[in-house]
Amino acid sequence: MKILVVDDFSTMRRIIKNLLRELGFTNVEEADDGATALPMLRGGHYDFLITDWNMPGMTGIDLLKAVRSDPELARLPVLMVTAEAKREQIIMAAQAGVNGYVVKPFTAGTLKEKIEKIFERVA
Amino acid sequence: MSAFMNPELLAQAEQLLETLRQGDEPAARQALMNLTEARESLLFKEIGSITRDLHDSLRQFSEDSRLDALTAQDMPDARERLRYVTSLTEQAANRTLGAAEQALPLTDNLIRRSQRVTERLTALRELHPGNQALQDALGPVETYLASVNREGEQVRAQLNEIILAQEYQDLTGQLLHRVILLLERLEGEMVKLIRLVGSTGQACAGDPEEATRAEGPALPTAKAGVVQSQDEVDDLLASLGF
Repeated sequence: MKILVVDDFSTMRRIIKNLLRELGFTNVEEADDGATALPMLRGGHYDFLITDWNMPGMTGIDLLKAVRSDPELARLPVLMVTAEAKREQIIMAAQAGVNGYVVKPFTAGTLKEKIEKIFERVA
Repeated sequence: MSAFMNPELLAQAEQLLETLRQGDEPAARQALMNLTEARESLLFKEIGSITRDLHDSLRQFSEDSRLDALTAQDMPDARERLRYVTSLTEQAANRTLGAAEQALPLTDNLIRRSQRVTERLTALRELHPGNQALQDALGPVETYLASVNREGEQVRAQLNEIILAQEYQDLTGQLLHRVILLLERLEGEMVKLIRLVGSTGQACAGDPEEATRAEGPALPTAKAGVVQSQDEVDDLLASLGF
């Protein structure tokens, strides 16, 4: 299972990476915004994408839209982990095809639950 | 208004009343005209005084070096401080993460080794069922290893809690970033205002980023009704009789 974590804050990437390791996922790579993430995703054979929303350069929502409109990446499971908590934003992410949405601050339990739910549905 | 207590005005008003009572129409008209003229001259004086006050205020505003200091030094300084806070919290969070990340595998090793030793001791027990002294001696060691195992798991859980708690850095960083943007905008607006009333020019050198920040094509109509320099302010005042 190869996972890409996209967040402009290195602290948050590190935290998510640690949480993923606790869940048994050790093949984790990082990107600091959508513009860096997209070329990594293309041809990188990732199985799962975890992205923040608010990032300089390309935002998470734009990354999500780009992923869904790319035939090779369209089916990639995407979990959004973000401080953006407006109803409209969550609806927008859902309409753009997000598989899960975790609002910061979050607990290890929440992240685990959402990731497991996504894999159940995808499998 | 004290201007209307002017004795001259009162005398003229009384004269108007008197001429009206007497039915002297030409004299009344003249008295009314005198009164109007006197009032108009008072009005002009008032406008003049207000305009002069405005002029003085504008000059004071443009000469106030505190405003220049505010935009040229204080506000960029405040932004820098906030950026520094962000970088300090990031360093602190990374230090904490680094320490926790190093402690986690050590804890894992402790747990794993204690499990291995426990397995061996169990095997040893099974090899020597008749050796009571050995069986008795193994008891406390096994109890200790079990506690290493149990408490090691608790330490693991706490280390993970410490790691997750560092997300404050992301959240506070985002909040501070918003405040920094707000300060930048405020600073830009103040620089514009100072330029408008013609400052010493010091503040104009404030933020090079502000001057080059993309704002889209300039609208020529947007500036209509807005003066561009102290010269225009002076011209405007001159046209009002200064």
